[in-house]
Parts: sequence; structure tokens; C-alpha cells
Amino acid sequence: MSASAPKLFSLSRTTIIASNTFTQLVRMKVFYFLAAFAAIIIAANFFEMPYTEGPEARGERALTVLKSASFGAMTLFSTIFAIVATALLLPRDVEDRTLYTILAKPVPRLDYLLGKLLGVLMLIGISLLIMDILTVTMLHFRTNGIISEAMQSAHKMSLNQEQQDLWTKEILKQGPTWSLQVGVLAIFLKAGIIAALAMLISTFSSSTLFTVAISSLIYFIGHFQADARDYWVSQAEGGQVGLTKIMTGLLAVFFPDFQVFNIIDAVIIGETIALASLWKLIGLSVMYMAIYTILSWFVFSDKEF
Amino acid sequence: MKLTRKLFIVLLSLLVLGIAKMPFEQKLTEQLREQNLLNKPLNIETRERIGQTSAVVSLGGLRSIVAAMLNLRAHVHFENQQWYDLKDTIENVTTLQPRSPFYWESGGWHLAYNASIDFRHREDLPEARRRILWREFIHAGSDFMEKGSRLNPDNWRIKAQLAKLWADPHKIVDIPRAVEYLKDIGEIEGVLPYYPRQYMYLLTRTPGREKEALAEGQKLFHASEKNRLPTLLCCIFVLQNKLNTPESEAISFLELFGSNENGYKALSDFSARLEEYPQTGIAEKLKKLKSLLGE
Repeated sequence: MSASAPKLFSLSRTTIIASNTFTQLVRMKVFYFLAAFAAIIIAANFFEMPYTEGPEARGERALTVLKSASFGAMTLFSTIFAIVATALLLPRDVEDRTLYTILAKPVPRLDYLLGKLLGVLMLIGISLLIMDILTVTMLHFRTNGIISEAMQSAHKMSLNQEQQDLWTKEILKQGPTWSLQVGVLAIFLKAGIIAALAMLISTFSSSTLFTVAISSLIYFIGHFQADARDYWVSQAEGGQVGLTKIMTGLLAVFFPDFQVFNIIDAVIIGETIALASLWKLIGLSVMYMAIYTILSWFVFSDKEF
Repeated sequence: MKLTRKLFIVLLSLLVLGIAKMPFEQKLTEQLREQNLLNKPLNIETRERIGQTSAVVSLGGLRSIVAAMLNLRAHVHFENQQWYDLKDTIENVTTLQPRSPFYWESGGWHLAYNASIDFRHREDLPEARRRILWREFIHAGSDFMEKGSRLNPDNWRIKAQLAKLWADPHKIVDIPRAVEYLKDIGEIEGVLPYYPRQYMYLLTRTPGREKEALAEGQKLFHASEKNRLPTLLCCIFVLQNKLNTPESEAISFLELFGSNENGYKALSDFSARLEEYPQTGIAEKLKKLKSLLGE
């Protein structure tokens, strides 16, 4: 009886590889970073900006500083995890010879790559979730504290109930809102793209350092991509072909646009993201992740070790 | 297949997919910019001014952190009274965070109040130069806040601060200009009820706009009892006198003040405290009330 060929994709196989990858990363003691994150938000909570305006604007600013620091740290940690963890995985599996054991079994390489990527995404997702919970908790207490201080000032300023309610509403707008969760999702999506990209690079890279360096470079170039595209679009009508136009065109075509994820800044100052825009952002991110994963599979499919 | 050939195919695929995704990305970026969810890209000049590190961090989606840090730098300039440096720094802060009203408010306040007053009292400068700099920084603060108000049209605080500046008796008083900032402020969500009333008070003080002031005052009077503060009631009384409003259209004295005693007290305070307001008919009414109340 001949053994049947393994299915191209199996959810259970991918899930097993993903959970093993997650365990492998957790054993690298990555969650210790949470202590650093907690220190950052506690410091931001006690950090007092020099206030020069009236008491009615202070609460807004204090909460914005807290959110800026938290979201900044979330972006930083998730990007580092996405690049470094992904860059480490393939070389480590080769070094430990785990890769040979896995590929000797009827495990399609697509399952292996997807499992590795999902493992990294699980790590980033859980880390962001914990950071999000810490931020929201801190923000909740700080918002309540600020409302209580504001109401004391309101009594001194003889504001009536209606005015006090308006003031409270303005402070609450800067507190923990659903819109902030959209910001956290944007950070996750951005990290997901960079992780998929790092995986693509690691499939042909000769060293971890090379993968980290190139992924970081692409990460920064990705933040210029929108500028290059703007230039390219504005020049497109002119019809002239210059070196700058060609360069900006190539930059816009080859690199992902990370500037769209800067909606995080808008979220921090209390803006609300429309659902339609959010879906488009999710769609764009999934498209990038899918493209990079398929290309990774293409490079990795007959790679010999 | 050789790795070089594979990489060539990868690049070719990225090229084709990149061309396909570009219109979608461009449209999404434009939509997010229209909704004020994405800031415009930093220009080269700003990138140079804030320094390489800050520019890179800002591009990495952490503009709010860089803006907060630069705001600290602005505060140091304020403490050291380095007003031109402060002006440059707050401009960088607001370039990074144009949708954060408090940066516009505090920056405008630094320029129009702190810097202008400091120059006004600089003993090392000749009097004429002091006056020029005093005016220059009041205008700089106002221009700065006007820009902030244009970028944040739904923010009432910047408009209120601009109106306060141009109605400030210690600055360059320009009531008609102050009025324009408060126009339509009542339509903005969350505005403190004080400001629509303030708009009416400033209209009262603007020669030639008495009719509008009265209409606004009557609207506020009927809109809520909470608006019926002595200054508003006195303004309506004065305007009705000044415009010779027919009785059928006017709010009667007793409806305004509730009683002769309340009216007497409110009008006495108004005429004693608020000399910059029109006073038409107050002296006569007070005289009548005095004899009526037997004071």
C-alpha cells in the first residue's frame, strides 16, 4: 500500500508548529520585556509635563502623554519582536537540527513557514494584549484621578453641573476608549507585515544579522514609501521621465507603506477611526502578509539544507 | 531552481503586485488624510530642524512622543526667555502634531502673552523697539493660533483664546476681530455655555452691530434660564434702549430682571463695573427706580 501525499495545507499541522514556535520563543524569556514596559508606563504616569495653560487642558495633556509613551513602547517592542524573533527562527531550527526532523516527515514547507509566522504573530498578539491591558488599567485610574481633580477645580471656578459634565466628557474622550483598541490593532498589523517580510528575507539570507539589518532597513524605508508615492503620482501627470521619478516609483512599488499605520497618532489624540477605513487597513495588511508568505514558500520550497 | 533565478522571480512578482497595489494604497492614504487621521508627510525643512533622530522616530509612527519631547524643549526656551527659539520649536511641535489643539493653545499663549510682555519690559531695548516687539509677538501668537484654528475647526478652545486675546484691555484691543472668532462657536459640540454669551457681550461692544447683538441676546435669554445672568440681562436692556425696540418686540424690564430690586442691583453693578459697554438708558432707569424703591 503506497502512502498518500500530504495535503498542501493542514490547519492542525500549522497550529502544532505555531504553538511549538510560540513555546520556543517564550523559552527565550522574551516576556521579561513586560517589566520594562510596566516601568515605562509607570514613569509616564508620574511624568508631569510643564503646564502653562489653564486647568481645563491639563487632564487632556497628561492622558495624551501617557498614551504616547504606552503606544510608543508597544510599537517598539512589537517591531523588535517581529524582526528579531522571525529572523532567529529558521537559523535556530537549522542549528538545532529541528528543521531536518520536521522536513523529514510529511510536512509541507508551506505548513512549516505558516506555523513559524503564526507562532511569531501569537507572541506579538499576546504581548500586545498584556501591554494593552496594562495601559488601559493605568489609563482608567489616571482618568478617574484627573476627573476628580478637575471637579475640585470646577467647584473653585463655580462651574454649574452642565459645565462640569461637559468637562468630564472631554476628559473621558482622552481616557480608555474603543478607538484605542483600533490603535493596538494597527500596531499588530504593522508588526505582522514586518514579520512576514523578515520571514521572506530569512528564506534566502545567509545569516540572522543580515535578516535583521535588511528588515530594519525596509521598515524605515517603508515609512518614506508614501512620500515617494506622492512624488511619483504628482510627477506622473507631467509625463517626464527623470532618474528621481524612476527611483521614487521603484520605492513605491517594492516597499510596503508603513505610514498608513500612523493613524496611531490620531488615536492617541482621541480621534475615531471609521470602520470602512479600518477594514481597508486590515485588507491591505493581510494582502502584504499573504504575498510575503507565498513568496517565502516559493523560495523555501526546494531549498536544500 | 537556482537561488538567483528565484530571487529574480520574487522581485518581478513584487514589481507586478506593487504596481497593482499602488492605486489602492494612494487612495487609502488620501482618505485617511481627508479624515484627519494621517498627518501630512514631514517636509525636508522640518526634518532638518528637528534633527535626524527625531525625524526617524517621527517617521516610525511615534510623532506624538517626539512632539511631547520638543514641547519640553519649548518649555526650557520659555524659562530662559529665548523667544525666537521657542517660536521655532513650537512650530516644529505643531508640524508634528497639527491635530493636538493644546500645542496650538499653549504655543500661542507663550508668544502672545509671555514673549510680548517680556519684550515690553526689556530695559536693554529702546522704547520704540520694545513696542514693536510687543506688537510683533502679539500678532505672532494670534497668527499661530489662527493657523491652529484652521487646522482644528471643531475646537472651540483656540477660538475662545483668540477672542480673549483681542478683547484683552492690556493688549491691542480689537473687539470686531474678537467677535469674528466667537462667531458660530455655539454650534461646536462641548463648548462651555459661557462662550456663546461672551460672543453676545462682544457684539454689544461692537459699534454698528447692536441689532445682531440684541437678536443674539434674546435668543440666549429664551434658550435657557441658565443664560439669564446679570450681564446678559443688562446688555439686552441697554440694546433695547439704544435701538428703540418697540414694546411688542422687546423683553420687558420685569421679565428681564424679575423685580425692580433685582433690576436696580444689576444695572448699578453693570454701570459701575463695565464702563466699556454701552450704557444707554441706565442712568435714567436707575434714577426712576431709586425714587420708586425709596432709596
